[in-house]
Amino acid sequence: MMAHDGRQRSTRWALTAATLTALALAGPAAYPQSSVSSPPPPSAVGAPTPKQLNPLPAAADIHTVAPLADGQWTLPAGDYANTRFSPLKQINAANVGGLKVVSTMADGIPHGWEGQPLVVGDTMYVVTPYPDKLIAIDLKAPQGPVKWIYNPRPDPRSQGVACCDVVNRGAVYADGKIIYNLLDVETVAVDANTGKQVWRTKLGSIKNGTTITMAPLVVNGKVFVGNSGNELGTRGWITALNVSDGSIAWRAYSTGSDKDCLIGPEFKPYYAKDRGKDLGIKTWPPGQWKIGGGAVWGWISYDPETKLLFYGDGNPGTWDPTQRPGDNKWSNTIFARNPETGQAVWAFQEDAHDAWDYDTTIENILIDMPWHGRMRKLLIHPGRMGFVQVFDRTDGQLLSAEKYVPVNWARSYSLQTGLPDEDPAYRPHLGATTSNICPSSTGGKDWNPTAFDPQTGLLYIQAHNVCMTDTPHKVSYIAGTPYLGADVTMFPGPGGWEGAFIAWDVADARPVWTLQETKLPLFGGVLATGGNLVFYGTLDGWFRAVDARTGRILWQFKTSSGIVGEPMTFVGPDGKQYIAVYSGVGGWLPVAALPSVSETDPTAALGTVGAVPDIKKYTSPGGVLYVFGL
Amino acid sequence: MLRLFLMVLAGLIPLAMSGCSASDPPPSGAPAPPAAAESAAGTPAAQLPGTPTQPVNGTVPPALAPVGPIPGPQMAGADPATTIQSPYANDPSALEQGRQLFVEMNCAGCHGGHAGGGMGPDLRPDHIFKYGNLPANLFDSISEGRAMGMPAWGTKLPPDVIWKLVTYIQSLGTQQEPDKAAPAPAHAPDSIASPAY
Ligand code: HEC
Repeated sequence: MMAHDGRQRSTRWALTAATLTALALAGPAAYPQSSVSSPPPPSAVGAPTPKQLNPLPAAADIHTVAPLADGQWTLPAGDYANTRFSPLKQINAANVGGLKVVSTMADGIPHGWEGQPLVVGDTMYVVTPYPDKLIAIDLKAPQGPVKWIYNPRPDPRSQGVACCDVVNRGAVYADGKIIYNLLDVETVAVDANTGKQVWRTKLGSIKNGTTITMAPLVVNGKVFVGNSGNELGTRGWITALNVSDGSIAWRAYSTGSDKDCLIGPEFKPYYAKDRGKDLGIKTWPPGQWKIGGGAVWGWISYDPETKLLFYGDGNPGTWDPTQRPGDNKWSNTIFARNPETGQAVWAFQEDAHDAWDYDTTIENILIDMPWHGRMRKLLIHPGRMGFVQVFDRTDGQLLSAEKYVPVNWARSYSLQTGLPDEDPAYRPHLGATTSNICPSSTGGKDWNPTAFDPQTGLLYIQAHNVCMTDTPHKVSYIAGTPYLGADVTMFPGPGGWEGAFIAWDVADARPVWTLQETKLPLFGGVLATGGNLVFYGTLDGWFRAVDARTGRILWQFKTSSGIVGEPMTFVGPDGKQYIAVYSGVGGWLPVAALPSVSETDPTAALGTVGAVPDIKKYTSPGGVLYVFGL
Repeated sequence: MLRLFLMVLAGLIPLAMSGCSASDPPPSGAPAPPAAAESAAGTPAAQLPGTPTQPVNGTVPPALAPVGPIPGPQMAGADPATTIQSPYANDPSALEQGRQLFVEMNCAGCHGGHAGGGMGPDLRPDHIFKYGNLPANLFDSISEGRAMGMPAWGTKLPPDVIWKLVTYIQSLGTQQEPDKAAPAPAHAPDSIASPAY
């Protein structure tokens, strides 16, 4: 349909002038192109203006671990450190006003398009929500035609076992293979050139409530995969498979004996609260650990210098804490492990005996920077429990924990003991209704990853302001069904605003500026670039570029659906920088946008509907890949 | 087809009922907590792959096979199924039990606390039922399961229990709906400390 002329054919994948005009009329690209540095009037479309809260941090000598260099995007977060920072700066604060759509691809699957494409060489790889197709797009040809589609046909019954929409957070590239996970608990490796399956490994069964939604990571010939299913009584694990043939190298469970959890002589937790033998059994009622959750469904980080793998695991099941007295280890725990053997090196449990579903699966960002006068190796954890924590990643010492959203379940964390100072008034238990707990189970933010810009020292957080009422009740374990045990209703937090895009000063542990969202929460990822830009999307479909230092919105474009995807950037075969993002609402908090969920039941979708009662007014599902260029 | 199925099921009831172990949730009344047995050895990672751990060995009811017929909506028409009514159609106590069962059988976990949807679809009246919402269609959906992840309950629950669930689903959005959802507050109180965003 889109014609192209001969000049463009050989060099780039682009649009004709006519198409560009059509797009410009269709979207806010119709802003005056002559003065690209002056922003569109955000008021015209109800966009927020930044609120300055604190000065920028002092310039510091900040290093990211193994930064992304070559204009490709081969790992889920771009780099091992999960910064989602790219040094590319062809597109920058001075010219971003001229950013335009250069290609789209509508697959249309009406579920949450979480995750991000990969770019390896001249090819872009897209993983769809269930049925988990892998689509290879030729970046050399005009407008990016499809090279091939790999269709793994996962078990359709897995759709009923996925707690929070049938999402997939993407693939990883290694050794000529695109490797990713299927909802029905499989990992596949596909030849990056031909689209032929190289291997396929079954890692568990949907019959006991297990699925996989996370994006794997590859380090030195091993691919690391974790499961999902904390709401269905799964038993959490991370598994290492050999990239060569898909065979299993090791598996570390999140509950059970030290042997099962790969806890041995190397294990040296920083705090006394995390020390003891077989805590994965002893901190549970008999046998309950076998259905205790702790699934590893989030992002994995790796530090090539200390040779440590970092990840957090999820909440304990059931949501009714009274049914599982004890610390419920190792649910809601950050682990540092040796990627070769899987042996644990340190662990930090965020909230023993969790009562709120504050999964610790949120990303861990690895940076080296001066901390109180001395250079330290840090791990930053912007947790679902509402605190941004900073750890020393070599030993697991907690260096800082500050609230970034309204929080009342705990007042603070003790840096001496590593324990939260809980407010018992906001701890739910059987036989009572606990009102106005902040944040809700979905957290101050959920899995949707932040970006860290080493040039500004700022962490860019897509936060939401949602609280909840929680009434635990008794629940029986019926394999393959939710093992939930709580009635939860969520609603906007104090002040009634729904979300905030926060520029967080890591060194001083405070916000610098914020962009408030009044009608819908934020639930997508962030990209920071060397062009002094930060990109993010909103649930009503705006895709924005903001000035990394001031928060001023420099450019925005209205995509077709709400954005829960993660923007990424790459250099095309033509040597030009592009930005790509999925638009396609779904997932957990925004799932009421789907026709299969009714806005008349605030307790639907595990209680999230009450937080977004009118989301259907602003967005509807249907996945589209957008690629933008100058 | 449904009648045949009911006959078969009727023959199975004693079997299905006697199949309930102590840890099986009873069809009504308070559910039993999982009576878990300790396995000292745990599950060696060496058993992998393809041998997923069986949680709480022996005492947990086996996985409900989430199987079902290939979808095909049943339309109102000549099918005798269209005339079948729930035996509990106007029975308020059965309605209450149906509501209780909806929570206790973990339907609520998948379909929403008040059936507004989530992992499974909305079952409230604004939903377009893929497999039909005649009483017999609902019975079949629950009993036989459906292809995209609706477990089959016919081997677990006797027909009268399934009919009570059907009765509850039919009451949704009507005056008779038991234990209606409380509306969510507009937002949390401003007294909760909040940053100046
Ligand atoms: C593990 C999650 C799960 C549980 C537990 C579950 N369901 Fe379902 N249910 C589903 C899914 C997923 C579908 C959609 C199946 C499909 O489209 O093929 C469904 C479909 C249905 C339908 C048909 C809806 C339609 O559009 O035609 C009915 C009725 C239903 N479920 C009732 C129940 C009842 C009653 C229970 C409890 C006894 C229950 N479900 C338990 C996941 C679940």
